[in-house]
Amino acid sequence: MVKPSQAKAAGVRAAPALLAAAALAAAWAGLAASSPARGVFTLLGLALGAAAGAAFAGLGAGRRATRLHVALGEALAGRRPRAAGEWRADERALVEGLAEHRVQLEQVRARAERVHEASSQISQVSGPLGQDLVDLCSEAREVAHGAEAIAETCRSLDAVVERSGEEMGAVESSVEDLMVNLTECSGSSAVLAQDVSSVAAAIEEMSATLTEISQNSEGAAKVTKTAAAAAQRTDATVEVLESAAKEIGKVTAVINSIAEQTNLLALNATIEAASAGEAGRGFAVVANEVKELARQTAEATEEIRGRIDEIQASTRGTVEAIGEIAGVIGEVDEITQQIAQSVAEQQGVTANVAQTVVSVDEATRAIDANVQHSSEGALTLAQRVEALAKAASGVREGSRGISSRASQNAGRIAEVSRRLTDDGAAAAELDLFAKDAAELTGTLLDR
Amino acid sequence: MTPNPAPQDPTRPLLACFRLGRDQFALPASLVREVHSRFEVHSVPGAPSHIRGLVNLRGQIVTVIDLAAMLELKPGGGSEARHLVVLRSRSEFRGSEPDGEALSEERVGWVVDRLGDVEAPSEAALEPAPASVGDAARSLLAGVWRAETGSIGVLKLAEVLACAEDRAQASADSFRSRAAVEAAPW
Repeated sequence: MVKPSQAKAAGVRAAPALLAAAALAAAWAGLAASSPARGVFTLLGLALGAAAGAAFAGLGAGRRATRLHVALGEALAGRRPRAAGEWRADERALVEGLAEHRVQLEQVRARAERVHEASSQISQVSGPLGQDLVDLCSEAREVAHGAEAIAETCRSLDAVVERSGEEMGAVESSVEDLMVNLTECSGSSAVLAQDVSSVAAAIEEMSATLTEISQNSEGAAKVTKTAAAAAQRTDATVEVLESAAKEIGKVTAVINSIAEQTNLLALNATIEAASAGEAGRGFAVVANEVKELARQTAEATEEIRGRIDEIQASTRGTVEAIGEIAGVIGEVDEITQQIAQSVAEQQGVTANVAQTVVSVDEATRAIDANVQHSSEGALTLAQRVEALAKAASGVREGSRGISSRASQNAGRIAEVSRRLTDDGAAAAELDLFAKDAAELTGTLLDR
Repeated sequence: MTPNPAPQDPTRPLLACFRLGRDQFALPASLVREVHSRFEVHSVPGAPSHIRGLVNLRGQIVTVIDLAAMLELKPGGGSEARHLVVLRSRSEFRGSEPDGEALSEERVGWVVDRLGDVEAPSEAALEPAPASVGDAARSLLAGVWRAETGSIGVLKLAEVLACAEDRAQASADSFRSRAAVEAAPW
């Protein structure tokens, strides 16, 4: 591909060549105009040769010939020959003709100098002109190649644009998918937001419940303390009861002993009454009644002792039960404390969760906003893709035009190049000719 | 109050009941002076094994005989409270029973495991001792009373005291011979 700057440079370089060509043409014209001068030179040369020969032949004798020769030399040197009066007519004519010829020769010389100068100039110009033409020609070829390349590039561009059009179609469908996805995403984020708000509500409820549990466990701790105190008091009471039962047991033992003694007394009384015979009958009745009372007392005390044993067994059971209750209360107290601790931890965790939920809520809102932005962006993107597709089709058309024009230009430039090649050949010929002319005129002038 | 028919019928003899281990025995109440539950026995050196010792009862010395040991009865419930049945001396005896003749002038008490009541069994409830228990045992028993609480052996005081006398004599003989051996070591 040839860049415009290169083409311009080629033009700039070509300009002096053209100028030189113009100068050459002018010189050529001048030279053509003075073409008879060339004949004059030729004739002049021939005449001079003939005249010299004749002069040498005519004089014959040395002195006269020498004089003539000197006169002719002077005439040729442009000086007026001396002692003109002494010359014969023919000699005079010869010398004068020679002088005349000399004048003419001077004029010819002046012209030849001009021609030499011009041809030198032409030569000076025509050499570079040829080179310039060659360069121009190659540059033109390059330009042509460049144009071809442009055309090729345009065709590639066309293909690329076609492909990009296809890709744009894909992008368009992707954007459509994206928009569908964004819509779904928006729906999902709405659902998420709803879920988050229900989670937040649940956590609030949970927090309230935990507070309630905490209060309840505090209440339970108070209750267990009260229960523990009550159990201790009950324990003391039961101990008192037990010792009282023991005391009662001792008393019944005493009563039992008394009953036994009474029984013995009654037995003895009965024995005494029996020995008294008829007189002891009444006494025997009393003794029998006393014995019966003693028996009943013994029975009653036995019953009391059984009851007291039962009471003592019960109090022992009660003491054990109270011990167990105290243990259970201790366990309950421990569990309550653990519950309180767990609830405290749970409250901390719940607070964290609540905070996290707030963060999630914020994040969801941010997602929503981003989805909104993305939707707008996708819409814009779709519009731009459409515009881009239009632009691409414009580019395709333009590139096709450029391609065809570039091809045409390439053809034209090839034509120009061909012509320039011809011109180059002409310039080379002119150069040769100018060189010949310069050489010839130089030779001529040297003479 | 349980009605006691004993005092209503003076013709029926009263029996003082007591336990020796699991067995029940009885003695005519007219032979008994008194009963005690609290007494302190003082051992007597060289006494036969059935003599428990002496008891001071209101200033009077009572010789205490281990009846169960004397009757060669197997020891029963040892945890039972021991009681003392003090017999009348012959001069104190007012009754008409033939056993009264067997009473000694010295005051004697029997250690029993537990005292029962003084009761008056009917004639029909009293039976002679069965022959299958052997002559020696049958000689100690006046009869067997089938009471509501079980069979009660009614002891024959003269035989019991004679048995005690024999044992005391045998014990004294063995004690004397042992003492003689110890006194003449050559």
